[in-house]
Amino acid sequence: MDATLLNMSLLVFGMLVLTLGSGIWIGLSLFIVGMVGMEVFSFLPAGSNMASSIWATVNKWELVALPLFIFMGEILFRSGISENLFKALVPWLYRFPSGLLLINIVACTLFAAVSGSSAATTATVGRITLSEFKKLGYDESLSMGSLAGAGTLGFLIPPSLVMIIYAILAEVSIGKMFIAGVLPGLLLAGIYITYLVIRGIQNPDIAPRGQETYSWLERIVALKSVAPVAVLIMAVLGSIYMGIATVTEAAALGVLAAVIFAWSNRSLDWETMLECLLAAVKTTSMIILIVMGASFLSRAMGILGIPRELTQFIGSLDLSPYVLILMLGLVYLVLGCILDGFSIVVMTLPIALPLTTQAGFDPIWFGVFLILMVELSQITPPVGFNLFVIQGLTGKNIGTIAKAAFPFFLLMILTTALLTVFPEIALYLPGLMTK
Amino acid sequence: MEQLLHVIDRLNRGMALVAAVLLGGVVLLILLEIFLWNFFEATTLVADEYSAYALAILVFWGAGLTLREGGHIRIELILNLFPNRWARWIEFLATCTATFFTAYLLLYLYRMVAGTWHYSSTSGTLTSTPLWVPQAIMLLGAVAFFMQLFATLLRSVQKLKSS
Repeated sequence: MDATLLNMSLLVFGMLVLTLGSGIWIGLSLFIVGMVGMEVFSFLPAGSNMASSIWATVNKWELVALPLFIFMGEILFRSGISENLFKALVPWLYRFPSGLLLINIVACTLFAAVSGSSAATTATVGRITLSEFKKLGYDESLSMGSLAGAGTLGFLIPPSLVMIIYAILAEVSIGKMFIAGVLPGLLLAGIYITYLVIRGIQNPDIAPRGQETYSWLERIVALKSVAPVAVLIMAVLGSIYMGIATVTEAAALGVLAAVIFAWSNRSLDWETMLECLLAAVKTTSMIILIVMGASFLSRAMGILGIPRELTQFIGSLDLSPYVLILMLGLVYLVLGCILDGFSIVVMTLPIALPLTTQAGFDPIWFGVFLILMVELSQITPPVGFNLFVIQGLTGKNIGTIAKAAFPFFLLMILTTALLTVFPEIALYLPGLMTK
Repeated sequence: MEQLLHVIDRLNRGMALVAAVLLGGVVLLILLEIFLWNFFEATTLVADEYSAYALAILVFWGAGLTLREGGHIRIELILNLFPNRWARWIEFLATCTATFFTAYLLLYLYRMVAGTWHYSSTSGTLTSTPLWVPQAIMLLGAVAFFMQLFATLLRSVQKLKSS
């Protein structure tokens, strides 16, 4: 690496630390660093580049899916869907070892299939399960930990807000990205369930079993309260998988289905609707400010040649692909402790994506890997949004919740390792889509 | 001063509400497109193009309220390590930097809009929408966001004075 490039990279990195560390809003920090880098090291006008980069980022049809999925999630959060899921799952799961604790996993998996956000999944499922488990005298640590772990499925199982952003920046199909998350999501859920069942067999006291009995008829009838969820999943994922709707259209259909569902059980009036829309606007604005800043910083770095040179440099080290992924994983773990998922994805992508594609990884596979890294960041303290949600629900301190989530953190790392050794877990289903 | 802050807050809240209604409109527009296409093989021609403009607009029109309610993410971890007085100074300097930068950004966004107006740039789609229209509406949002940042700056000065 030559000296100017080293200087440039150090300056960019140093400025990022300074601006982010001093508490400047992340999106604006990224803009500022990109602007200074461009002004100092290139002859191009930073200001006009910035304006055109903003317009190009934000005036994009595919990105419209983002506010729509957020809006859909807001409606569902207020719709009583959590009570429905709980009611439907109790008769099915109460007899398993660890009993109803499994509801955390199964309900999160189902809700993740209609929601694009991990925090929303955690909040929606947790607001009913945590208080019920407390009443039943279940082990508190496992209640919170399994919720924190399973809540992260919101980003892995489609629809997923982080995946939309990743797919747009990495220029891969959002639809394929979504479908690639399905099997890894189910795998992770399966591993969680296995863990809980083993814990339940070892020590039945963690989740004392209830005395109720349910007949098969009752179980089948109970399922009718998850029917709306099934319809939603079909409307959104089915239409994407079968290729009859673009992702944005599927999102609009999802909104329609959510509105009909919420309207029919009287949890939605005009005032709530406006509240949901406003919440969606705010979250969209928050995410896209970061995406805009990162897009411009990425453009500036590209002009300075940083990603290209860095990729060549690391390529010349001749690392094995596994070592590369391991090192990236460690970097992401550290970043995940202090940054939110969106920032991690958009800030590292310009460098990490060329690195991994050069090493022979498929961009879709890397997307799934990155989502798992984001999920880990959701449950690592001091900054982990799932932990914050559970703190909001229980009032426990972050340390206690993080400790409860730790076994699930390890299980997630296990899943990532499996995914790295068997990339087909992510790539099999999207491969079927290309005909 | 309190009155000024109040007006800026109200303005940004109002604009975010408009953005919320706009998002509702986007949903209806896309649903209409799906309906027309599947049942009448007709199209609105504008659904994808206009919803993308709407996205650009609502991001900026909602940005001020998001800022006011602490919705935009920033790292407060390191700030909290400093003693209170220091933290307030750093916060003030950080807000200063952000406000200055946004003023600079605003200038160039304005120049972009002036440029598309001057050259009468259009969308290049069937509708030939003059691009300055959505861009100018987006710019209004950016102005309001800048005002909200300025209000945040004033508030951080107040905090400095009171300590």
